[in-house]
Amino acid sequence: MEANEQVIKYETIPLNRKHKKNRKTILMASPVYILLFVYFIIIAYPLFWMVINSFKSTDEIFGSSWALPEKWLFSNYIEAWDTGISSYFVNSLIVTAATCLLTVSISALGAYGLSRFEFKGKNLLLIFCIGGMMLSPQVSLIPLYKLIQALGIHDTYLAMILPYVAYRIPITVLLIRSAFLEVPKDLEESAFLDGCGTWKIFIKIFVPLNLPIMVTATVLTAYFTWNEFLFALIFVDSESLKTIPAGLMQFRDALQTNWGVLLAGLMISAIPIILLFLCMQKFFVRGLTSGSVKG
Amino acid sequence: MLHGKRKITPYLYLAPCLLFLLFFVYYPIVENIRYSFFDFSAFSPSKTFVGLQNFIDLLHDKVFYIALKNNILYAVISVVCQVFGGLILAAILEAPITRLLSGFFRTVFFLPVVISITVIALLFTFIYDPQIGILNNFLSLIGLEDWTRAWLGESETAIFAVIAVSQWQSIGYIMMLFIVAIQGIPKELYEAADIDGAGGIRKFLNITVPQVKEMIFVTTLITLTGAFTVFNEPYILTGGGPGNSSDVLGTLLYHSAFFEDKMGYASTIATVILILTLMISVIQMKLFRTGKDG
Amino acid sequence: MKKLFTVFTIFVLCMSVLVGCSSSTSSSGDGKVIQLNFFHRWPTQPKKAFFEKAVKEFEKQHPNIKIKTEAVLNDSYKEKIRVVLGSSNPPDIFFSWSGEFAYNFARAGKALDLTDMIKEDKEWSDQIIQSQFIPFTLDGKTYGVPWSMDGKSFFYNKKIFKQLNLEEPKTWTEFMDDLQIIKDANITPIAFGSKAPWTISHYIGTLNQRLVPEDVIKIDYDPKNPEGDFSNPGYVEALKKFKELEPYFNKGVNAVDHEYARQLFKSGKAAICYMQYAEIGMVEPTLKDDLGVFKLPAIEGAKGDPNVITGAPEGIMISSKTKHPKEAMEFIKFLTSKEKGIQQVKEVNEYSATKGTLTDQNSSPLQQKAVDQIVNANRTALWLDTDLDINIVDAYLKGAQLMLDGKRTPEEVMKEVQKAAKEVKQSSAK
Repeated sequence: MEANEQVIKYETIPLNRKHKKNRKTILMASPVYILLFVYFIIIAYPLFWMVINSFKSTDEIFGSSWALPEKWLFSNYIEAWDTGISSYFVNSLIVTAATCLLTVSISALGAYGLSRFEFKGKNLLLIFCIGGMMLSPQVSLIPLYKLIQALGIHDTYLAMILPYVAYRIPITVLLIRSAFLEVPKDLEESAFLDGCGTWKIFIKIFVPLNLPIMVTATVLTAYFTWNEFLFALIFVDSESLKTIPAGLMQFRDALQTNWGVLLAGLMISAIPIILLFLCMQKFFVRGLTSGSVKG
Repeated sequence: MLHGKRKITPYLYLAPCLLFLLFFVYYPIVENIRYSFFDFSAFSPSKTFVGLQNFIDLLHDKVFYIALKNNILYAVISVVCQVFGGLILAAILEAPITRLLSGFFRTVFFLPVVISITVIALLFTFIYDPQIGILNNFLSLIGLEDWTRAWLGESETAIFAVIAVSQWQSIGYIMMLFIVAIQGIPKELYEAADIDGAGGIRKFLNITVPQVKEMIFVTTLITLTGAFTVFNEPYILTGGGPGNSSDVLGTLLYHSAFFEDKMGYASTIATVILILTLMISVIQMKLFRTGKDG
Repeated sequence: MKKLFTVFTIFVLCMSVLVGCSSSTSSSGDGKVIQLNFFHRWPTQPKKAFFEKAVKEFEKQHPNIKIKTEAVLNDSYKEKIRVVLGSSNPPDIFFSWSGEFAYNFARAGKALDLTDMIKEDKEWSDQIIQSQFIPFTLDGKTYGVPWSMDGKSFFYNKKIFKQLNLEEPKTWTEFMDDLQIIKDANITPIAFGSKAPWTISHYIGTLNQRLVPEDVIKIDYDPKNPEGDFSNPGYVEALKKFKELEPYFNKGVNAVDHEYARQLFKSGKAAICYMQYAEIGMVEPTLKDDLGVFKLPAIEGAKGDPNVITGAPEGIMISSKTKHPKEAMEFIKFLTSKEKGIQQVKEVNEYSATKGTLTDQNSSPLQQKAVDQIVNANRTALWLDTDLDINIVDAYLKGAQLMLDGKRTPEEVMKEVQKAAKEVKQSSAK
């Protein structure tokens, strides 16, 4: 009853009041726009710094770091690619792809188990999963090194992939679980009544409905794996297996670093992740999940 | 209530996770806890059992308290900036008025996340530079010249300068997570509120926030555990200096392990971090009553 | 869709295992070929290419030996060497800093005792500057072979000095006067960065040598000798002198690192910089003839040695677990031969510890002058942070950083150093 009255009121609002409301909306929106703009500057200006300095020589970076480059050294990028990236690119690609696939799939399974079932020790297992986020990687070096040698995977891709997956599972499980928890119970119930088993419900309902979070999880895992260098350096010795972070090291030294080339190398290295993120943007469309209850 | 065909179904789903975690995470954790009762160097083959001595030494170490204080500062500031700030940013970007540019902003705000810490450290060394840094230049420009200083080089400001860098990098990350969560909120809820004449802030407080409760739990957890395990930013930006003023538990651990060769002591610090973060997580789980309909 | 997904995952896993395996089977080798693992800390050019070339040359001369090289950077090197030396297959040949770093390996039994092999081949070992073996020798046994040497002095911009009518200062008072003149002319007198505190240790190391008698230092620095307690007033003096320099540094030294300082000097914005000789190659191309050098000036009334140069060699060690000590030693002899030494100076700007490797063809007069200082010094004092037990170093460096920030006095810092020294010596007596 109340709603009807409200609706009628809305329809009879005279035109000029509607206009006022629009102006008011814009006025109220301006602090929001200002905030966005300020934050944008805070983020974009340093990013701009990175780009222009990747075209400079080391001396120029230290000499006039905020000015535009005197000479645009595209050679920085070529050098970075030739020595720091090209040989390591494929390795990074393989390790990252494998890690993402494994992490997201295993975590999704685990998240499903943790979110849609009631069983003994559920909270305990949740803590068990989260616990992985609490270990400082440096202290795990020696035990992990021993384990990897014992398993016979030292100096292979698996020496990187398996630990990475293990360390990303906690956060990925948490994320996917939080999304799964929001799926309305009615959906499951109706599918269950239709005779679907848990696996079918998982594959046909949960996964498709939560693509955004899984995609986000993939991007986050990709970014972590692509840039990870502690394990990549310690568990792998052969040049032929090293990933990009090891390759980029070639531009750094205790006494001297070729910063221009290093920046160029890091820019190049960031591109695949950015591309991945951009491609995934189409999943970030509002309304993907709304309307599903009615359907 | 959903019941699997067999009672062990949930365990089956969890099995791959648990296997990975057991081998590659919990085996090192257990070893680590074991190590904290010994005194040894990475070079020497022998370990001397010292019982709780490492823990006692840690409690007497005044640097431990400085580091702990810094981690707590990290935690508080991170939650405020990242969770609170990230949520607001996400809500703004998902609101109708900013719909057009939201894709663009989303990408730009997320970019800092994909930049490696090496670059960010160099970048901020220049931003904070006492002479040519833009922070000091900006302050002088707006007439606040008294506030200019060597941000990374003075013991009062060093840790705050470091924390600020982490916020710069990570707000976008948390913001993305909230965006995904907000997108899962059914439009109908907002439409109903519009009809009731609710303003932006009311809608935010009464609809958005409760609907993303689970994500708030996750992001707070991520932020808090991150704050206690942080290592890269303080290490690369200040090395824990000047003195120990910007040391955190992570840098303390690293220094013990790789400079002082006290692996046992380092393990003790790691165990303490573990216990702290575990406690925080359990408290959070209880507070949020996660997994139950709020 | 799901099937494709699973197939893809299995494929990627298989591929990674296969590729991973294939690269390690090549190391098992066939019968007679001996495989050596060589681990160094220079993945950067030009050293990377230098070592790759050296390995190839050596392999050609010794067809039955294959060397697998791995190089990781500085910090990662410190991390990895600790992890791999404790494992079951450590690298056969590896680089090490001298002093405490090398002694750690020796004490833990991880480094091979090379004394006999060095004595056997006098023809080769006599070619090496003998004083450079000292920082690799512990309790009379030598565990490493020096590959490069280094020293540290004040480098200055001759143009600025000429402009202001200054000469190389011979005493500390002259030095302080010069600094004031430079400052009055609105030029930063000394470029310095203490974010990474090893730069502080270099200053303090030399100042200690100047102000504290040598025999006192010997007892104090020895971690096993409980008599040395750092109570000599010279130590506080040293810190005071360092603090005297503070107004002449660039602003905010704790916020910037050494590379930044060197860039300041290189670009002519600062007049003086305390640098290692290895850095000459980085600065000379820009400053050319304007680059000059003078020792840390003698301090009036100082009780220490005014002629000591601070510097240390870096060298190569062999793992005690190696299966092929003789072949490993061959490679080291090759790397420290005279020819390689000459190439080394030219190509990578490292001063070889082998005699007669500095010629007019491969080095500038300034470099020759610098190396002469090392060879002719009474003795070289090691970098403070490799000469002392790390806990004492920590007390010094952390304290000095705070001293520069105005939060500690020299006396307070020394108290902390004394406390740390006491603890270290007590625990080593156990």
